[in-house]
Amino acid sequence: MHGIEFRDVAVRYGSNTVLHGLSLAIAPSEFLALLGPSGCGKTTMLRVLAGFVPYAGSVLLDGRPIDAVPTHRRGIGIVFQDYALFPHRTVAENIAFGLRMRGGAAAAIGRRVEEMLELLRLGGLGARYPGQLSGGQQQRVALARAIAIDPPVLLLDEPLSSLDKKLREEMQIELRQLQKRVGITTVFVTHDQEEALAMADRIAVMNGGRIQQIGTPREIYARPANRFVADFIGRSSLHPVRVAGDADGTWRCTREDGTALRAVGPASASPGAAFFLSVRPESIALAAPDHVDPALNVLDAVVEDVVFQGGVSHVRVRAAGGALFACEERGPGAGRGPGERVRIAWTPEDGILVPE
Amino acid sequence: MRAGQQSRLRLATLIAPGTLLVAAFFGCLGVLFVQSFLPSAGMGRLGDGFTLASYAAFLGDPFYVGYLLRSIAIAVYTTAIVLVLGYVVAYHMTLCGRRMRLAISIVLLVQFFTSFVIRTYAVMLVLGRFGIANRTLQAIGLTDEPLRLLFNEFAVATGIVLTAVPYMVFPIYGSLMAIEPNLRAAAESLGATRRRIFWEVVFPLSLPGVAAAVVIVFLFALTSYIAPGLLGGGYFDMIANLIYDKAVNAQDYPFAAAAAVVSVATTLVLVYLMQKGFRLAIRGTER
Amino acid sequence: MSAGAAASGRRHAGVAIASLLVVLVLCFPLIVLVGVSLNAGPRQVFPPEGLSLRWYLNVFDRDGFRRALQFSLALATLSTATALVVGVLAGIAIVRHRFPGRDVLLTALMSPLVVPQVVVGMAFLMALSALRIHSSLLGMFVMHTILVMPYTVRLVVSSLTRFRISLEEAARSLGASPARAFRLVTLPIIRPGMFAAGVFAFVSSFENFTATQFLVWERTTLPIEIYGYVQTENDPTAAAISTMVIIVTAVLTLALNRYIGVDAFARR
Repeated sequence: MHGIEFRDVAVRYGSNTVLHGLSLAIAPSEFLALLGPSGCGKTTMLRVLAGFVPYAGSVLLDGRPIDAVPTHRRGIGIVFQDYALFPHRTVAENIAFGLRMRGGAAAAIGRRVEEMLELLRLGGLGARYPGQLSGGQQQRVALARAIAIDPPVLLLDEPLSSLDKKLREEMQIELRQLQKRVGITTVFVTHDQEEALAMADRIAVMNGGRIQQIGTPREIYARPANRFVADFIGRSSLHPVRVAGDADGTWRCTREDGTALRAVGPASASPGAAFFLSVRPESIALAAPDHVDPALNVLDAVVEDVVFQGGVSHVRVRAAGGALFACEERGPGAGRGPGERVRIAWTPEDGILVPE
Repeated sequence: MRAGQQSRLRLATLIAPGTLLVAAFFGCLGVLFVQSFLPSAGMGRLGDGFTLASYAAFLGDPFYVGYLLRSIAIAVYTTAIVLVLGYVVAYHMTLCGRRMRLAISIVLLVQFFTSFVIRTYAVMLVLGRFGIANRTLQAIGLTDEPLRLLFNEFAVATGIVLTAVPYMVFPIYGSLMAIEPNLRAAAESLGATRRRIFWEVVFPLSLPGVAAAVVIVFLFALTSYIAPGLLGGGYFDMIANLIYDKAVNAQDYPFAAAAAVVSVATTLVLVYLMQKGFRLAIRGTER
Repeated sequence: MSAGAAASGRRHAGVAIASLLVVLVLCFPLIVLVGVSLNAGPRQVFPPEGLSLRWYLNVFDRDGFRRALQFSLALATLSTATALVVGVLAGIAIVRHRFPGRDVLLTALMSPLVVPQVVVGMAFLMALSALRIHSSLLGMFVMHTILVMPYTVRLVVSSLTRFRISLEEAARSLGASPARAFRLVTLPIIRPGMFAAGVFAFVSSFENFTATQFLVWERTTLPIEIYGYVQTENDPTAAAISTMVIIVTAVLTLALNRYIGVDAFARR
């Protein structure tokens, strides 16, 4: 199994810098998701790895630089967003394409193609043309074609984005199982955070040509490294606060209207420093207007609006001072309505201080 | 009911002028077809009755059939040359920068829009006895006497090739531009070299454009009148020249009509076979 | 720098050189033509033996060229205008209506493109003489309209097909009558397509030789006049008038590029 390393990789198009000297190591057999909004540089990372764009810095495969190796000799498997299946070749010919380029014997190629058709449950479709297949089948052919050449690394560029929701969820599971079974190092580009959270071993969140945070899905969700990550992943109420001092492992801080709260945050924080307080909706409990609990952060609030979604209701409340908080209530709900006075409460550990 | 009648009236008004012109066109062709079976009374006059004499006169004389065979032969090899030249230009247009592409497009379009008579005349000026081609050959000492570059098959073929290239470029360029760029990237990632990407992916996918352009150029070459007229100067006439000569100079309408019917029928068969061949080659690339 | 775009440019140098050579060879006769037209001497040689505009002046002294040019312009204008009207009407019917024979009509409207010009010309000659019509002017007008109609039909149909009908429906829902919605919304959007259609039609009528030569006993057109002159005379006058035509063509092409973009146009 093969590992990959980006060292100080930068990409510029004229005066426009798309990647600002990124460094990143991907472990053998790891499934890494590059996640970010469009234009964040995630696809460029993938194109650097494939050798499609000129770049500064270095890319290493198993510790050896591959910068001088042209794309067609890198042997990296790619599944394109639109699959890029050759429309004039049958499914079997598509899968055989990379093997033929390597000049193998016809019999060996035929066996490998059969193996791939079976692995991806494409039995009986070998003689069809891509135009005669469903979206999910085309997706699997693209995967088979990329894996057939036994690449050290598999690159997936938003491969599920053109499938409908139900099929996409099935393919997420299938893709994940396949990756574990084959054990191939995989880099997966996506703008869909649920997809990244569900599938990846680790996620690299990107924005503006820089990596904002790398970590396991849990880390990224529970301990966002900065305001961008907190805002981009999941839903979060973010409010500016100032650190006042520490109190038994948590930080005391004040909101703009002077209310004091407790939250967890980086050890490097010091009194007077400005942060954003991030609280996830599911961490916030809605309580009666007279609720008191000294162990929690408690604020008076008025319900702004309620969106009922079956198993869960999304309740937006306006706290004293005007700040808006997004909360969630499970179950059939108390039937809250706009204008109702409530108190919102969360534990200090659920409030996270993130830098700008 | 009224609304239905109104919309039918509207539709009739929309298609009436076009239908009328189409009817006139096919009417004229019908007259030609019918007259090919009439006996000729000479001097443009027609006799009565039905006869295959004109067909027999055309098909029975190797001298006349020679015009058709000669035209087919020259059309085949000029189309092949034009295909190579046109493909190179079209392919280059997909690789070069925006400005270069614009410059080439404008040059080709100016050619495209310039009268065949003028473009063929220009080729005549190059190949003539005192033309630049002969003077260059003499200057570099390849020949002492001016060569006879004009009034032969070489001149006619050159004229056809030079005037037909723009017709070849645009359809091929269109189908090259329609190829998903990711297909080349995919082939490259699978280990294909530039050469193999071209032959395995780009060329097969450009075949629909090639097919369209080849048919256009073949038809154009086969029915050339101006190139043999000006550059052949009577020494290398093609089928269209024969037809004109028989109709206007000899005033033998039935013979000219019969020659036209045979040529059109032959052309249709050839184009049908060509399209069938291309369809086999293209299979799968469409959609 | 890694492998990629920079290297691909170098590897395609062969294609670029070959292609530019082809383009140059295509341009070369036209360059010679312009050079010949500027000759001071009476011979058609290149490079010119001294520069002069005398052959351009000679063009206007010759009645034949002047009258042929006038007639060609009138014929091209009239047949283009007619073919545009016919093309728009038939295009609307074909794109927006379902009726039996719709595909047949479209194929029939396009068919003048595939019938050899010499056959078209001869068919008209025979039909005129069978109908005992001795004036060729009407015949020429009808024939040119038919010959250029495929261009107007094709471009109007492709513009209308790409036009989203919901735009016209939106205008109607806002209170425009069908005719007004067409004039205010549809027409401006398909105008570039119609402009291109007009240029194509005009040019192919103006340059037509092979079919036209059958019907020229009353008035001749410019290509026919040039063809005849080139066969019988041996001075640069024909080169001069040809150069003028090429210059007008080039200006027209640049205007076309300005108006709708040659690239989009070339791909049609």
